[in-house]
Amino acid sequence: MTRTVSLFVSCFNDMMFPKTARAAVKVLNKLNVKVRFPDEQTCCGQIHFNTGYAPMAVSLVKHFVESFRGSDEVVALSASCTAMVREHYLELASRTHDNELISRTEELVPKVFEFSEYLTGVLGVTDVGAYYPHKVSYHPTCHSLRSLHIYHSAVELLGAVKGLELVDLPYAEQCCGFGGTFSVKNSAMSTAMLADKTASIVNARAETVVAVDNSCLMHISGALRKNGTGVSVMHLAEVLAQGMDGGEI
Amino acid sequence: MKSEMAKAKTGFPFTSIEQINNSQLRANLKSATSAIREKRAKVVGEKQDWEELRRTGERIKDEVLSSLDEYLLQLEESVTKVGGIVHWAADSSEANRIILSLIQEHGESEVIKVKSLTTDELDLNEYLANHGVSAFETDLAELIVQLAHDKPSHILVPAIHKSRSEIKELFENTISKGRVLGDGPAELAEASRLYLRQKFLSSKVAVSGVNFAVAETGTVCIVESEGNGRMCLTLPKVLISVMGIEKVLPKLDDLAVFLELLPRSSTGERMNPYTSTWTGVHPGDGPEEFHLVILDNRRSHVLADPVGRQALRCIRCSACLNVCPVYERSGGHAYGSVYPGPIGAILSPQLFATEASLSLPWASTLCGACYEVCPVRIDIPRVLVHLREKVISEGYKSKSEEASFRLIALVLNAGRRFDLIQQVATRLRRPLNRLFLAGSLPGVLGKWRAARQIPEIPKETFRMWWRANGSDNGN
Amino acid sequence: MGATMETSGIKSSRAAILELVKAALREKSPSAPSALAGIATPGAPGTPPSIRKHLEQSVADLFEEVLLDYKATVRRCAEHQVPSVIAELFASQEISSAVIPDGLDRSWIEQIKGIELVVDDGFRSTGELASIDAVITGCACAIAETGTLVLSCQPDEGRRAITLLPDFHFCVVRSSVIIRGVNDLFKHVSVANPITLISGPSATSDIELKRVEGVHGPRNLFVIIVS
Ligand code: SF4
Repeated sequence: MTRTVSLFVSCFNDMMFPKTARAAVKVLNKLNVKVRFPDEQTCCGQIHFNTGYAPMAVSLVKHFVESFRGSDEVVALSASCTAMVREHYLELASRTHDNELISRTEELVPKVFEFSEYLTGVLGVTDVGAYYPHKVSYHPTCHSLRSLHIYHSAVELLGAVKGLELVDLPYAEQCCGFGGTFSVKNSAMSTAMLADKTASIVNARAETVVAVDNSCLMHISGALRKNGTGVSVMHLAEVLAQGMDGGEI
Repeated sequence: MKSEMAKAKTGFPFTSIEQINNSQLRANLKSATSAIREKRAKVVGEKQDWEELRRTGERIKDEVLSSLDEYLLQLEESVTKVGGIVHWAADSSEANRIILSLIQEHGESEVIKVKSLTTDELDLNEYLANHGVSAFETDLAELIVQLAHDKPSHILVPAIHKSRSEIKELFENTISKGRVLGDGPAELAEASRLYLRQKFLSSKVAVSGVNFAVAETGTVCIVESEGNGRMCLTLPKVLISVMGIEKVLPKLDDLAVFLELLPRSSTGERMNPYTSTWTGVHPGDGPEEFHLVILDNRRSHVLADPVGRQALRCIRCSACLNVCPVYERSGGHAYGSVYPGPIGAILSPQLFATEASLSLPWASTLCGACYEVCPVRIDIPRVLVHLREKVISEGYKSKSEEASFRLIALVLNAGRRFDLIQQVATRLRRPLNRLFLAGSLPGVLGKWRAARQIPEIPKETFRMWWRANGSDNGN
Repeated sequence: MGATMETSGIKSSRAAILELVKAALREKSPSAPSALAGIATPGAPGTPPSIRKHLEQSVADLFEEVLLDYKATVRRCAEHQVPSVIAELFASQEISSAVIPDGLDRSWIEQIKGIELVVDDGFRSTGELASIDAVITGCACAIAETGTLVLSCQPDEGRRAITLLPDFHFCVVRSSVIIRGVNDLFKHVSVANPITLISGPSATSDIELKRVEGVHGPRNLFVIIVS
């Protein structure tokens, strides 16, 4: 039986990291999953909600729920967006007192999965047949680690990639200091946290840092590149798409 | 003025800078917090039912808060029945007045104190000093802070920011005047033992905080390590204990739950060296007079916020400080409050609501490490976001920020609108990317680029690619 | 009812606080968002070996192990050996005086040689107690998992001051009084008396978080577990 999923790429990936989304499509197709892209989709509302503009986030919740109405399953390419949906959508929808929206939200929320969580937990797959002969460190982003608890899914998926050597990242569980608007509101603190994170990464001697949130990776890579460390970053989906027939995506 | 808060030279972004650049402080805090994190993880790992315990702790505290008025009345009745005297203080000045008059009634001009955040919150020592009463802190770290005319920077280890060599020098100039000390922690602790012994034996009045007070029996509990607490609770004739209204527990069995949760979370020990309970006055053993001061000081205001009230579950274990990446790099002073770290970031703006404290809800990346360790499951990230919303809705905001967010929301409220903006950005990507790489950038982007490169805008968005290729991909 | 202060100002604070609290509780907390647990994480850890070991150990063994962790000195012996074990421990330390509570089994101290022994009559001044080196007590309840002595002022435990001021504390614990965990502590002791839970010698970690055994309370703890 083929399954069909609706892909939520997130506003941020759509604009800045389309290659992550293309890689995810490739991996899902390889696993016999059909992909839909509801093109009304935009943003989960997390930036607004987290910065203190919850009322504005409510309209984005509404928009998200409408965009994905009728989906069997939704796969999201960001752990923090998935956590936003799972932890706050019901509460935000309830603020509207719109019973129809509330019940649609209730229906949708349990169908939303983060990409790696979907592969291991729903499809039951850990080896997707990827090949990536490089030294890789995994940075467990905060939401993936503490809200979604998917550390193991990601590490198992990476462990099954042929040729890939997973190297330990010291203080891996510490936040990279991004935190959305935190990175500019408390820029000195954010920079201090980032400096420690990149120092750990350099110490780990990996060629590539992998994570399931491009926002954190953008933050980390911004410093890795600025400092000329030569360490690259990659979303997990991109690693899993490596070495599949069809070459470059 | 409200809208200018972002530019004000107060608040966490400003107060934390000096600490972030203090290499000694950073090194002290990093080694101290990592050591205690490891200890905590080890002893928590030994309790198979830890998650269940946390949930029980949460439930008990929620039960207390949901009928707080009744539990307080029950506590008052029980304490009175066993010979204690209960006082009610609406705010810090009333609490200070009550304590001072009790000391004066006994004709004393000196008191000894057990470490108590609540009395720090009251600025009690300063108040007493202004009225001719000297208060001597007896907890080693509090003593260090007091002798140095400093402020506590950690809930559990108030002098965590001080290194042993600083403490050695401090003691040589104060309590061990004329002597040369080594800088070993054991020798420094010995110096404080010698100094305080006489105070313990001669003082007539002690002032303490309260860790827990049991409504059904009137039993009060204090948890400590050094034995200074036992000295203060046992030797003086008069004991005055100050408790926030949220410290009450319904039953004795509830106390047992917290005696499991607190030490493992706090010092990372299976049990702290000394825990004392007393139930009123015990003839022939300990103080002849026991006063319990029940303090509100805006806790009822915190209680009125249905989301924010969970901060009142806090048992001051400091586990959230020890795991917080922000606290680890700023230390406690940057929070400008007796309650630093993640718990301070949600408690101080609610309790004190000073302008500087209103920046604290943003002093977090919402990484969630605090929530993960909190023994009473306070969802600190959730409360932080709630307080951000609340502070903004009360008008403390940047108008330009709000306008940008409104504009972004408008764009994001329709797929087509977002697509259009993206297409424009993609077309302009060459000049934009050049600007991002090396041009002069104002505001937010400039701040970002000070430490990080800005990623390049790719030549097509995902949705552009999907329109061209989506249907080919096995769909 | 309870309020004993006469000043009217203070009375009114009581009423005001209670009123504020009542008013604050009018709005209920939002119910926790329905537990959308996501997907079970593979590889959830089973019972760690350290816990399994604890559950299998006898309470006395566990109690001893945890006490040793606190750097207490522990001896195990049979009832009839208590006097010789205590005497031997005393001989190994520089102790010249000791106090005992009135209800202590006198046979326990019979073999101690060459020290001044006083029985606490409840009236000795704190200064006097502070000049005594050691104290010997019994113990009516102890907790294995946390290595805790629970003193509740029983006749062989004495009042609080005598186990606080001397620098050496010798405590005799019958293994029959050791309970496993903290959870049912208050089913075994009554709070009618003051209770002191002692878990290892007095300690501080206030300087650079380095643990130092011994600040104000007894710096040396000796526990004799009697089977
Ligand atoms: S908020 Fe939780 S973790 Fe932090 S001090 Fe309070 S009880 Fe401990």
